Amino acid sequence: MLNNIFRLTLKSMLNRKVTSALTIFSVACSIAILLTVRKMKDAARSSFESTISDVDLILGARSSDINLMLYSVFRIGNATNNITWQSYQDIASQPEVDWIIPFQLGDSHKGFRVLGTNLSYFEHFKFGKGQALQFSAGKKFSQINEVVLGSEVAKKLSYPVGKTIYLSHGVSEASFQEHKELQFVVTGILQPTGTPVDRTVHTSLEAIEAIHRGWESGAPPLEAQAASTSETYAINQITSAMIGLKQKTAVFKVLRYINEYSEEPLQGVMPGVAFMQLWNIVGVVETAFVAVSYLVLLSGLISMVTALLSSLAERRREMAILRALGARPRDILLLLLVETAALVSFAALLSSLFLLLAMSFLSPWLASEFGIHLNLTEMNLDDVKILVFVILSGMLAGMIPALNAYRNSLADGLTIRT
Amino acid sequence: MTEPLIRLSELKFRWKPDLPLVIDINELTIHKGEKVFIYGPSGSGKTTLLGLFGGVISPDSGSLVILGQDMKKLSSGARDQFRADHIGFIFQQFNLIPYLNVLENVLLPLKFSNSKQRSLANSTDEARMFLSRLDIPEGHFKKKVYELSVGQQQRVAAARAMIGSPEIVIADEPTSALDADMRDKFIDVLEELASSCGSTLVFVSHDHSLSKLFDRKIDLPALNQKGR
Repeated sequence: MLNNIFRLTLKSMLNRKVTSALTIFSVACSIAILLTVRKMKDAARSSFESTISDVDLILGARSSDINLMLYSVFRIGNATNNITWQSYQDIASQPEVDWIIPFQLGDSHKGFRVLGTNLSYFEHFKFGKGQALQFSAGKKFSQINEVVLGSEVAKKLSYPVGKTIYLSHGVSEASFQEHKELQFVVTGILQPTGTPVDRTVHTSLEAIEAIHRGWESGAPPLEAQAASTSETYAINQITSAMIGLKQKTAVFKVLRYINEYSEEPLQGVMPGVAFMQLWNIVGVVETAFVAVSYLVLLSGLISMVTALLSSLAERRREMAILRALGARPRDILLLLLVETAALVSFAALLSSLFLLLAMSFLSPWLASEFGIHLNLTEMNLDDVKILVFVILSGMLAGMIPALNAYRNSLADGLTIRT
Repeated sequence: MTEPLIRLSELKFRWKPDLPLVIDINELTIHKGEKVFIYGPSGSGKTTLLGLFGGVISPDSGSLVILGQDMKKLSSGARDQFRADHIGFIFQQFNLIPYLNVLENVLLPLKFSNSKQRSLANSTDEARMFLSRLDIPEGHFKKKVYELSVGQQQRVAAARAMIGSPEIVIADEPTSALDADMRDKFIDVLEELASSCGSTLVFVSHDHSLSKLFDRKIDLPALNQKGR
């Protein structure tokens, strides 16, 4: 009997193929939106968290965890204060510290932040799942007038290796205060990482010191002192540092040392903790997106129910004929339930197809533009759960037209109403 | 006299307890093999009576025995199955399921009745035979039903009612959409088919003039005591 109902349903749906196809399409779109939003959410979060890897502590002047995180990891905002080179070295010389990367921020080039650091950056800085930085062209800086560009900087500005540039004071894109003290030359370009590294111009700490001689007041010196590669420049201060420990278990000990450091107010942050604090803020938006996509799903299902209800008016005669041939009201109910199940199942299938197609086009673009790496080639268990949920709620919604048809067929009996 | 096929006595039915009676019949017996014309103008309780015969509804009081089965003792599901197994229906017009082709329409009752299905060695052959006897050309068998003329559609409906040779065939105004000439021919072939299948034909119409084509005539307004 069920088999017969299935075949009747499919034939009936084929008879109304335009309406059925449109219904499937609209439900499929709403499912695809839901799946995509969830994927993007997961991907955004994981790419957010994979901006840095293997860093146990971030060191900076005392401010908030999130602020320290924002300017040192995401190059957003500014440091409240610098820390002295002496403090940095005191921390670096702690026995638990395995490696430390100094960060000197505050300058820019055409809107891209300049990061002063040293060669341990290229050795120890990791992103994603512990991936190291790699060069797509050229090599690390070795002279004070050399810079290494992130992939996006090189691409947007079309800078090849060997290009000479000036750095600007401050981080505003419209900075008029160019550091004419020293002309830099591009020695290397990094491969894309999908992190803020791509939008960073890297140079040595010494270079930053060299171009800031006489700037101690915060304003350009009356007479710029040209810097030269033959001179040596003492490092006075840095902005922040990233620390890797020999043993993760020592993190609280080092953290306490940093926070209780008596020479100047320092702050240490565990990246995981700060990420979580940040995500709690971003998460509101994320939740809103998910809520909206569920609403879209709801409206898709409502449109399906509407289409079915209006088709029932035309199909009352058909139901009465089936009843006359011996169909029970229960069979009529089943007929409608099978139809909604078929509609949402086809829609679920179609939406998965949409998703795979869309993502195979979108993911290279998302990766290059936003550094969001979508892993969509496979459907994971969560996606399957969502699809099952959608099919079940579709069938639940299908109870509305099904019960309607059931009631009609009980009332109509064998009377054909038109 | 042959055995009674449908026997009802003191039959009363109302749609709701606070509504007046629509059926109040003292006595009616239809025998096996009869070709009965029931004259039923609108408002005579025709639809309700057919609903009772078909088992869609159950009498409030009195007895209704069809094929020796007391219909009041059957559950609604069992009555549906009883209808599927023992009764064929033909309606006024647009009797056919639009998304099935001609042959599929004729075979449809078998999907709801194992006993009808079992009674046939080869159901498709049987369906083709009926259609041929009803003058439906072979070339139409796989066509969409709306490609057929109204007369042809009614004959397909007749084939569908007859397949599996149900004991009772109920025709509810099947000729109202046909012109006079086609109407008489349709009734002739319906009676002939019913005879060869051993089915009892119950033909309901508001058109008095058709009664001459039948062995027996029942005047429903006279029979039905409701409101008196």
